[in-house]
Amino acid sequence: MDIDDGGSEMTDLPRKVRSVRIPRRAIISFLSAAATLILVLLLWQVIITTSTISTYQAKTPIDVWRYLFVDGAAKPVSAADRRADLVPIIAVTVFHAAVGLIFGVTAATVGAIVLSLSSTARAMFLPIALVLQTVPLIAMAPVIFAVFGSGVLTAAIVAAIVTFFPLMMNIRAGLSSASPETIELVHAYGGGRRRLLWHVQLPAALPSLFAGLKIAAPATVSAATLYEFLFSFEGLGANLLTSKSYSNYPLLWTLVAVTVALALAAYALAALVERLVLSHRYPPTRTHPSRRGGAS
Amino acid sequence: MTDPGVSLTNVTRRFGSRDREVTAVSDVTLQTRKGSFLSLLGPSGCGKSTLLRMMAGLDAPTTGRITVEGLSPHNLRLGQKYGIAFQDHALLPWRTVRRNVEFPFTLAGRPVERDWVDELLSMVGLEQFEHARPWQLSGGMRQRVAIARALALRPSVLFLDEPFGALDDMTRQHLNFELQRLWSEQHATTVMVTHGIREAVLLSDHIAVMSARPGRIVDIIDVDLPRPRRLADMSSPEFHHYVDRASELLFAGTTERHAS
Repeated sequence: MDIDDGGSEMTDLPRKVRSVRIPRRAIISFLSAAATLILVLLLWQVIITTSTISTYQAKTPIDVWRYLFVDGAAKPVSAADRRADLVPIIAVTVFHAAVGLIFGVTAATVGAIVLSLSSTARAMFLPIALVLQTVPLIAMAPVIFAVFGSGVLTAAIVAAIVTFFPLMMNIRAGLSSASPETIELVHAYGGGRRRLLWHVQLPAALPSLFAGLKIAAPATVSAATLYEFLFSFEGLGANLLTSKSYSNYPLLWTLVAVTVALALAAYALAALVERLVLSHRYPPTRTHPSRRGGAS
Repeated sequence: MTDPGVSLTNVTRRFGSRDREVTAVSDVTLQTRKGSFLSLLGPSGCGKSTLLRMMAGLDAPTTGRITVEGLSPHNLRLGQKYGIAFQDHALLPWRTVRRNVEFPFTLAGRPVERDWVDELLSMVGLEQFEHARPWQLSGGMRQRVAIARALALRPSVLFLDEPFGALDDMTRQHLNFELQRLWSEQHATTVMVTHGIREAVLLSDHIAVMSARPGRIVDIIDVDLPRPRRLADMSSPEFHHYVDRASELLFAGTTERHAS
């Protein structure tokens, strides 16, 4: 695609921007994220210890910590063994989510391009997509299972259904965000639909693609978990179910915490890639008003 | 007349369906010679931009005939024979200044002439900003990038649609003198859309004064002032004569419309 990689040979002007603006913003967002995390953990701990819920079923962050890191707190005795048992479970879910995300992003990108190219496709496909969007996934899931069986393909389809529509609408909005003058410019130099798409529309859609990706990435984790919960015997979703039926509550709560952490990590990864790709190439969107306007 | 520049014969452009039709351009006929600077001067809504877009092959006349340097606008466009700049700079924010100037090469599928792009960047005084992004520049700098981009393919024809229309007066005047210099170096057949009377007189060989609704040409003024025209020339009696003449025609065009 037509993205410029002039980042390393910037003039004085953008270098100044780089050394002042980005780190401060990064530090602030890191600190606020850490504060939020501590607050959530504190609330979790306080609610469970002060309530009358059975401590046998309801576990606190400290219990999860003990399950993960303290020898003898649960079986197997060694905490390292318990952690080692979790690794393949997490790996399966990560695999399901990753395949699902790739599936969803690809389908959404292709869908958005087709929609932007053809008004017939828009008229035919958009209502169907909208209707499908309103059908609860839990109602569709058995149908998908009946058709595709258990396997990574079904996991990918479930994840793709969750992410496809919002991602496609985001990308589509991005594709049509190019100014009329820019489109005119491409025509003025004899450029056709293909050049317009490649050199103008796709690069213009990148910020909205990433905005959609930051929502889609954590959503695929929950979609993968849902698939495993319903149709599979592996991964976080399936193990949530079995740990519950074996009344292994420390494991159950640990798995819940791991699932949440995985969804947050998926978001953070999407945000990181967004920053790596967009910053310095695209106009900053969240800068302080007084810093706007550039150098003139 | 020697080699033809732009040639318009009974050009009319109507928009809309039959029952709600709007005539944007009505029966425009004019000729210029190759290498001359023509301004389309008129109030907003007089169809001057529509006229320019038709010459550039971005729109087609309902009736009438247009050729530019002997070519149809369609062939002129597909042959990448012209450069164009709009009021909206239409720069791609993710491309650096240099890569924006190179964009016409990409669109035309031609190899980038790096030395020429270097030269263009220094001609518009932006060689130090080649790696900056458009959103880091001032409005005037962005329009300079747009002008450099318009010249990228060494076009023999230049279309300018109010290129400095969004800028403040100081910057605008400054860029007008730069434009005069660039134009005289490139010898391009130029058509500029403007609503600035002094700007039109400063730059043009011919000024087509237009009136609105329907857009038509009131008269064509041939500006016979020596070049290069300098800032001091703008206070000369000859300069004022042309400004007054254009003002009269513009005013006549508007009063005529109100009377009818």
